[in-house]
Amino acid sequence: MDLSIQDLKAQTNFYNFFSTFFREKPSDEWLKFALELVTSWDETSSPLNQQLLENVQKSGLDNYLNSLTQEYERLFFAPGHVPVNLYESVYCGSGLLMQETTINVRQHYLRAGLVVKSLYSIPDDHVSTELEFMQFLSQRILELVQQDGVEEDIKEIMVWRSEFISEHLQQWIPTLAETMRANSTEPFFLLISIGLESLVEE
Amino acid sequence: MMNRRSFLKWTGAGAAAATLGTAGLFQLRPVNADELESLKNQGIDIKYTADVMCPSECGLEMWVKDGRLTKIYGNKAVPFNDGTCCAKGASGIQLVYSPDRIKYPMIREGERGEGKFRKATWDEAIDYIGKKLTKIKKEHGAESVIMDAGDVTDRDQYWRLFFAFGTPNVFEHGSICDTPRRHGPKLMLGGKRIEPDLMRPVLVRQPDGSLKKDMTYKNKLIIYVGWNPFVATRINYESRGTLAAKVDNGCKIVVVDPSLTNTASQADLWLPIRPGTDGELFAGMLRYILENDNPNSLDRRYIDWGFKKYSEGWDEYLDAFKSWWTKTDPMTNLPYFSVEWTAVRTGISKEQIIELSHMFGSTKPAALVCGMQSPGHHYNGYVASILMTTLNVITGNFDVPGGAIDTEITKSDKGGSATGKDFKKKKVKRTVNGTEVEGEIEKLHMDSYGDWPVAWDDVIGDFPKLFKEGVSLKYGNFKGYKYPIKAYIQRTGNAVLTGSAPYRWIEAITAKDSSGEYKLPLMVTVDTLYLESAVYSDVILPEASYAERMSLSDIYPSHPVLYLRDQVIKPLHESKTPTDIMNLLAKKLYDLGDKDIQPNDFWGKYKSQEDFVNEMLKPAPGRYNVGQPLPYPKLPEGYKLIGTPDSLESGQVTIDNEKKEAKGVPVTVEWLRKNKGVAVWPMSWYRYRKSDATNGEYVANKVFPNTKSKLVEFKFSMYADLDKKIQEGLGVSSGMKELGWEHLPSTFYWFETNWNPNTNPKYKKYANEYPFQLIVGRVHQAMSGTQMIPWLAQTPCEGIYMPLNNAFEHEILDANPAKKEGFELKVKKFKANTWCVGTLLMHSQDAAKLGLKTGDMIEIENPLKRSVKSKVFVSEGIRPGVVKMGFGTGGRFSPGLGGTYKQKDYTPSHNMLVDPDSLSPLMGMPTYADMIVKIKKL
Repeated sequence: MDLSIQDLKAQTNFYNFFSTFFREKPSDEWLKFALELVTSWDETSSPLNQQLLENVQKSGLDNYLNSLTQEYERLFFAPGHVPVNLYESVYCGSGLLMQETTINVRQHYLRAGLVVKSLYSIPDDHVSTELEFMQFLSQRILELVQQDGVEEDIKEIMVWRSEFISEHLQQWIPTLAETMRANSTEPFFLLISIGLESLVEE
Repeated sequence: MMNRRSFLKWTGAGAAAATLGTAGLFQLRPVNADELESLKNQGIDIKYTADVMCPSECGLEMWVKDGRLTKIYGNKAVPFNDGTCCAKGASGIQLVYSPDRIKYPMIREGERGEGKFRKATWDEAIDYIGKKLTKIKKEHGAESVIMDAGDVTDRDQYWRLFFAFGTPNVFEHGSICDTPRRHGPKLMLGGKRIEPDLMRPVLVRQPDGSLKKDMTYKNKLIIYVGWNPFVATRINYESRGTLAAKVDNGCKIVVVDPSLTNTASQADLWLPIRPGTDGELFAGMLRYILENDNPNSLDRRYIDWGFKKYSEGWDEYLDAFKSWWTKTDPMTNLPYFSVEWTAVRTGISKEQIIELSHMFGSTKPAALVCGMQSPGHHYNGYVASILMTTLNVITGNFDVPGGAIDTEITKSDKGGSATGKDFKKKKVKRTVNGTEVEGEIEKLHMDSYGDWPVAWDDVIGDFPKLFKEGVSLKYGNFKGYKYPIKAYIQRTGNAVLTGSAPYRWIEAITAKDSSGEYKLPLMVTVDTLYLESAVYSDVILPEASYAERMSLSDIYPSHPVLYLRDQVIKPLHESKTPTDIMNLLAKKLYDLGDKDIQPNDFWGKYKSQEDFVNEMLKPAPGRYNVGQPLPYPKLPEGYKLIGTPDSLESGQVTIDNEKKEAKGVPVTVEWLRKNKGVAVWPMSWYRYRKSDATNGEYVANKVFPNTKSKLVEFKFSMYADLDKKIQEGLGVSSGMKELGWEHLPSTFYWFETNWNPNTNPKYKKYANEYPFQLIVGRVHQAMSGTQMIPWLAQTPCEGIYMPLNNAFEHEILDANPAKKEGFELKVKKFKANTWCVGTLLMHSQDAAKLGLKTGDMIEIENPLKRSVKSKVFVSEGIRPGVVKMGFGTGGRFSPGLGGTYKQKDYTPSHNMLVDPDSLSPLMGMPTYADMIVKIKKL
């Protein structure tokens, strides 16, 4: 099986990174590292990186990080209508939460022997949960490829992973990323959106 | 642009990402085999519950699959709605699963009103509130905290907590609903809501002893005054029963209303009365009936004099009423209450007044019913509601089959000790003018012992003043005591927009002291939706939606019926049930050292919602074994009934002759669940009388109605008791001063309404400059916050909520067959005139004079120089000289309102035009329908 352990590790890490980002408002410490990471995704001289650098210089790092957390709250957690919804069913289903899409996502989790901890309360198709699922699958493959005689197991999980990507992530993550770009001018979030979208590209 | 290949330079960037991820599972967990099996094979679970999309609270059947609410139907076992479910009820799924719900606790970041919040944990939010409340209680006393439970529904947990905390200042929406309308029934019957006997089916005892569901309509005449049950639904059975009585029994329907409402459109007769003159109409009808009653004429036997056996004080009432007949009205130069006077005042012709009076006097059974939009919203609404009650009683229509029923005293009792009212009896000490005084907590009440000694339904319209000036007690033990208001906890409701003029509320809530701190240091909202009041809050707590919590229906049936609001699904997101919120905050206050909060009154006692609801059920039904046919012939007549219908039926009861109670097996959640969620006890009529076999006649049973004397009271004992309190206090209230009263009257009285140049000499000078009377009506589907559901926001209503929008863009569900579920959420461009917005309804003759046509922009200004903008809807469906808006349809400035929010700059908020200083003088209710305006084209 042509699977690079390094690639698998990197995939696991990226799914983990984005899942963590969307789970809770990031700490300043986390954001500092994330700034370095996201700027490495593009050429140093790219307009987004330049803009980000300018913003940091203009406000000072501490103030800039503070503005990022405020923007995070505004984009994802505002009361009432949030500019960027983080649930798949809002984009792919009837526009409401907990719809058929959500239940289908649940079936994918169950097939892999998982279930959301806050079952029936937190909809299963939150971006963070979906990415955590991807991280779990990638991690599992990573563990298996280092063992002998488990090719069938690996194959099965590869199928689960690719079906989840095509049936779910690819159905809505590009729109989510586009929605982020449409609702924020902050280069950090734009870079995050680009990275996220690239992660699920075919 | 990057692509996957360039982005995923796995080895380098991936390693960096590793430092920013957190290992392990956070939102997922392994599932065990049994659980897996059950999760994969879930069938449909049917739950019986009660709606809260609107105050009708219909009995519903909800289908759940995979832990998800999938269908909503009416519950056929509930006679209140008899299996029906309207479009609003059925749209509940769109509210429950709306992505725009409040999902997490939030704490304010910016200034009040900026709408900037941060997501917080429950611990943080409860800690924030608990510490502030503890500090406020220590510095100013618990009474400085107001708990406003908003909607009456599911309020008891909050009331209990704050009563225990030590404040008597605990409220609900009722005080800004229609308190003057309830006044007459309360004074005279101990009730509140007179409705026609239209609930069908009713469970009735048959001559053979069996119980049968009766679908027969007995009504012959219903007069709805300012009441529009087809739209402003609170009493579900009136929506279908009105037409059923008309079709099945030839019942005549008369609607008296300045506008041609949906109900009026189905009536036999529509009388477009001048606003604020319902009292005049009733006074004219009463005088006509009294002067033309002839017991010996089949045609003119208007009065059923038997009422005198079941009432007291009629002679005194009659004298007071007649004393006006010889006085001349300075506005009309006619004697009060004469037909001629009534015609001039109401704008209804003399002939029609005579016809209506004769029709009401001679048609039996009949019901005269006032709605919220008549006496409820006028300064002098008391007068109309007292006359309405009088007319129903003296014509022999009170509590007869097909007649008028006061549903407040026929519905099942509930709540019991769970409401925490006993905490108000606890004694506290306060220092008044240097002297320590002791008294019950309830005597610190800001209204009853402050500026509003008569306001038994409390006064929310006066909050802004009290936020700024504080409370000054004038009556009871603590008279002379002053305290500030330091916290406003609002649960559901939306007082900033609905509790009188929003600008007055905003000014009070955002006022700061010299050090830059808010004068009101704590404002909290507990809600499912993000409405205007929440925008001004310091903390927002997400409450479980009605499908996610457990409680009891709060309804107005014609006999005891009670159903469960069962928890259908788990609370979504991070929302919590009222019971959990009560316990969390109670525990926090206890941990912070509050000795008034004890574990065994809260989390030690109510370990679940079911524990709480079971206690609420203990007094049910709490009504009496009275009337014909007797509900339980095998149980003693006149005894209070407590227990499940089947235990009372089977005689599985304990009879307490001292307390006069027949106690069966208490109703419980478990019992309700086994009976499709509903308990129905038998109906009876003539509940005020019993048979006296010795003399072969009926006599008063002295059990019903619910007055002090247990008779219909034409002499107001409630006023007598209140007047005693007032006379022992520090002077009469400001409302009484406005009326020039030294005492509360003992019986019938009359005074004029405000801002009416046709009836009140004080406002005559405004007549030419402000030629329009402004009234307001409910839009069922756009009430409070439900227009955030796009489908409801696109449903027009009666000229006041019409598709007259400007072009705009909005994210909406749109059909797309290519998508998996046939829909997609997308930003859609709405063309002009395709989305409903709040509008102003105007008669075509008036519009022609102003050169207006439907869709034109206008400015509406009142004599207080407040103005709003609106589009006009021109129609013949309103009385000329009158214009009408909807409640809460326009000027909505919370982004939680969906597409409605985007129309805020050109749609009218009616409350911007009410006079915030015009509170009805006894109950303190904002006078929403007393205003005059001028209109100009923009």
